[in-house]
Formats: sequence, C-alpha cells, structure tokens
Amino acid sequence: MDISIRNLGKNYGDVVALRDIQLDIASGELLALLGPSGSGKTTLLRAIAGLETINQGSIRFGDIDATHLSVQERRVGFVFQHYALFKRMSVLDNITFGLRMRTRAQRPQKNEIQRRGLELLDLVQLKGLEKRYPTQLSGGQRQRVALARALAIEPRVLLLDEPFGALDSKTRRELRAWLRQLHDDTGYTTIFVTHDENEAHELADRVVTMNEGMIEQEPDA
Amino acid sequence: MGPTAASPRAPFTTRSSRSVLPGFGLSLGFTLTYLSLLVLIPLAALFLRAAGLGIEGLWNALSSARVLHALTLSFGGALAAATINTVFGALIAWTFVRYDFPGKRLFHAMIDLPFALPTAVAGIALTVLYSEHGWLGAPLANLGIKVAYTPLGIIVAMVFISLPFVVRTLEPVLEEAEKQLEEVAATLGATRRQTIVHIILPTVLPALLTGAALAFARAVGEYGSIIFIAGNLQNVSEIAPLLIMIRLDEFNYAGATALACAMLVMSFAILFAINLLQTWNRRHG
Repeated sequence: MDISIRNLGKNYGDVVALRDIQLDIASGELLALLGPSGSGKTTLLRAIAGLETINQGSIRFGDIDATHLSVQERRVGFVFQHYALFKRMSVLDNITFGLRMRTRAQRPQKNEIQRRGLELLDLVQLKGLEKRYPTQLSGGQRQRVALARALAIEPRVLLLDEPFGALDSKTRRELRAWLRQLHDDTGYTTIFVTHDENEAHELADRVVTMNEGMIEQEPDA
Repeated sequence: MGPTAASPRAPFTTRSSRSVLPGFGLSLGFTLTYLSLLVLIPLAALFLRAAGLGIEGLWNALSSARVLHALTLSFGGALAAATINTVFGALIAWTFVRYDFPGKRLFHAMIDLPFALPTAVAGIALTVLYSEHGWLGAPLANLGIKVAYTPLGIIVAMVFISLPFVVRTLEPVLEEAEKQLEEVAATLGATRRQTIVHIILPTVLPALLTGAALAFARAVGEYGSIIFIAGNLQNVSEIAPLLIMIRLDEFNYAGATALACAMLVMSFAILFAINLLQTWNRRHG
C-alpha cells in the first residue's frame, strides 16, 4: 500500500520535532530514513504508526485517510529496536498476539491462528522454536520473532525502528541480507529507520535523509 | 622488577579463587544465627508454652465465642483491608508512575506517613474524624452508616496503616514496565483493556500479591490504631491482639499464649498460600 505524507508538523511545546514533512512512498517500496539521533526520524516513524500525535498535516495509506485513525485502526506492523517481546508468552503466543486480540467476528479459528503462527515462524526461519520463551533466544532470533509478530496482522505498512541497532555486527549483516530477501518475497511497503549510512544504502530502494526535523534531500530514485 | 614477574605463583589467587562468591560459610552461618535469635527462638518459645497446655487446654482457651469472634474479626478485617488496598493502592501507584500533576512530590511523600505516624496518633485522629460528630462521621451517620466503634471502623484503620505496602511494592515494577510493550500491543490491535489484562497485569501480578500479603500481615497484627476507633465491645468490635492483652491483664497466660499461637498459625497459613500462588503464577506465566 502506498503512503503519502503532506505538510506534517509536530512540536513539543516550543521545540519543533518535525517541520513540514512531504513524503511519498510507493507500494512495495523499501525506504530508509537516515539521520543522526535527534533528527526526527524516529518521531516521523512513530507519527506514521499513530504512536505520536501530530500538530498539522495529513497521512494517507492508499485511499484511506489515516490522519485521525487510532493506532489500532491503522494496522501497521511496528518493530522496536529492543524487540519489545512479551516475556511471559511463548514465541508462538507472541506471534499470534495480534490475531488473538481481534474481536470475535474477525478472529480466525483457534487452529487457524496456530497454523498461521507456525507458518510465520517458518517464514522467519525459526521453525521448531514455537515453545521457547523470548529470554531463551539470541538477539537476532528475538528480532525475527518481533518481525513475525508484526507480519501476523497483515499490516498495511511495515515500520522498523533501528531494527538492527541492538545486534552485533555479524548478526547485523546476516539479518540485513535476510530482511532484503524477505521484503522481496512478501512485498510489504516498508520504512526503516537507521543512523548507519552503509546499512541504509545497502538495504533500501531509496534513502531519505533527515536533519533537525526536516527532510534534507530526496535524490532521484 | 624481574623476580616479581618470574615468581612461580602469583599472590592473592589461592583461597579466594576457589569460589566465585566467597564467604558462603560465613554469610550462611550469620544468617541462620541471626534469624534464630530474632525470629525462630521467640516463636519456638511461644509454641513450647502453648504445647504445655495440652490439646484440651488449647481447646478450652480457644473455643469460647468471644475468642472465635475476635479471630474472625481480625482475619476478616485484615483480608478486607488487604483487598481494598490492593485495588486502590494499584490505582495510586499507577497514577504516580504514569502521570505528572502539581504537588505530586508532596502527595508522594504523604504515602509513607502511615508508617511514620505513631499508631495511637493515627487511631485517635481516625476516631475523631469518624465519630458521630466528626467531619466524615457526621455526614456518614446521616446516611445511616456508623464507622467509629464498629467493625467498619476497624477496617478503616487497617486500610489506613497498610496502604503504603501495596503502593511501594508496585511502584518500582510499574516504573520498570516498558512503555514499548503497551505500544506494540496497540499496534497489534489490542484495545486498552486487552493491553491491561494481557500485558500489564501479568507483569505486575507478583508485586501486587507481595504487596497484598504485606498489607494483610500488617493489618492482622495491628493494635495501636485500631483499639481507639474500635470501641472494643465484646463480640462486636474486639480484635484478637486486644484480647491477648486482656488475657495478660487477667494473668491468664495460658489463654494469651493459645490465642497468640492460633494467630501465628493462621497468619502463616495465609502467607504460605499467597507464596504458593506466587510460585504457581511464576511457573504458569
């Protein structure tokens, strides 16, 4: 699903966090938001997810005006740097959480939920680990679980906030290649935030650089 | 400095390197001695005395209607107070951790006051407030609710003195609970209520149970603040700790010992049950 952001502005009191952001993301595109810390890239990502309120502007997902939709209604897959897995749930329960929380009318059958959870586990190459708990997994594995959990709700868009930031460099490189492959296979519109220039250019179809709350340059694709 | 470097064995590596955590024997010995002197020996002496009464003696001392009523009142009141504090203490802790408001520090400091106040002062203050002509007692009396000199007054005093336990045990846990977990739950479509039930509550449940157990234990043993507001009417508002004092005043040491033992056993049973619940909860998270 394509995303279009118009005139988006956000401030905390007198501090301007985002200034007049214009951004279009094509359906199926893998976009990197690059910038130093404090540049507003994470704030922009959170605003798209609905985790931050915005002061002006609009956000559209395809034909849907998402500006005033709640986080729940936006149906975005959000992956945090530190995974944010539910510690007291097994890997499978983590992945199927979004499906299990649906209203009775929209919720698939129990065994269907189970089946889809296992399928996603397979997709992120963690087959057989469904009964494990997050603390029993490595960092790279945890981030894969977080990704599978985000994919389970069939999100309109996938948002990754420094997804490899907490991993060692070897795992980083592995996961990068794997994520690129996964993106090409599944075709979700994806935005990921990073401060690593190499990572941005290696992984993304297009890199957007941010600085002091503004988009600095938009090189031709 | 050649000889030092070539020295066949380095100093400081002989004894302490045997264990990663040295001093096990010393610390265990200290712990056991300390606990024995302070807790185990006094309690054992109490049980020994009670055992001297024989089963019949114990039965005679405990089976009177007055004693049973006092025990029921103390334990029932403490359970009620702990339950009330668990609900409202959780709310208060939540408010302090999650919101900012003017005077927050002041209110925050006030939470511990029931700990610091001499219990007699708390009891007298509550009695004045809740008596029929008191600020709170008068309007309540108009509604037909009598607080002072009734079991209700006892529960009020118990709630007052045990409030800090739930708030203070819960706060650090809520503080640590990652906000990201709630955010991720929201992006996955969970409503606020679902997030509380499935994400927040399981995280804070152990602390909540601990706080409830502490509040209960404090309320059961409370004496000073209650005797003022209770009125201490036989078979109406006479708590078990007071009855122990009365028995002692009557030089009825056997009766006092038996009652103390009964309270100990019941308290232990309830605290042990809460402990089991904790373990179960941890295993089935």
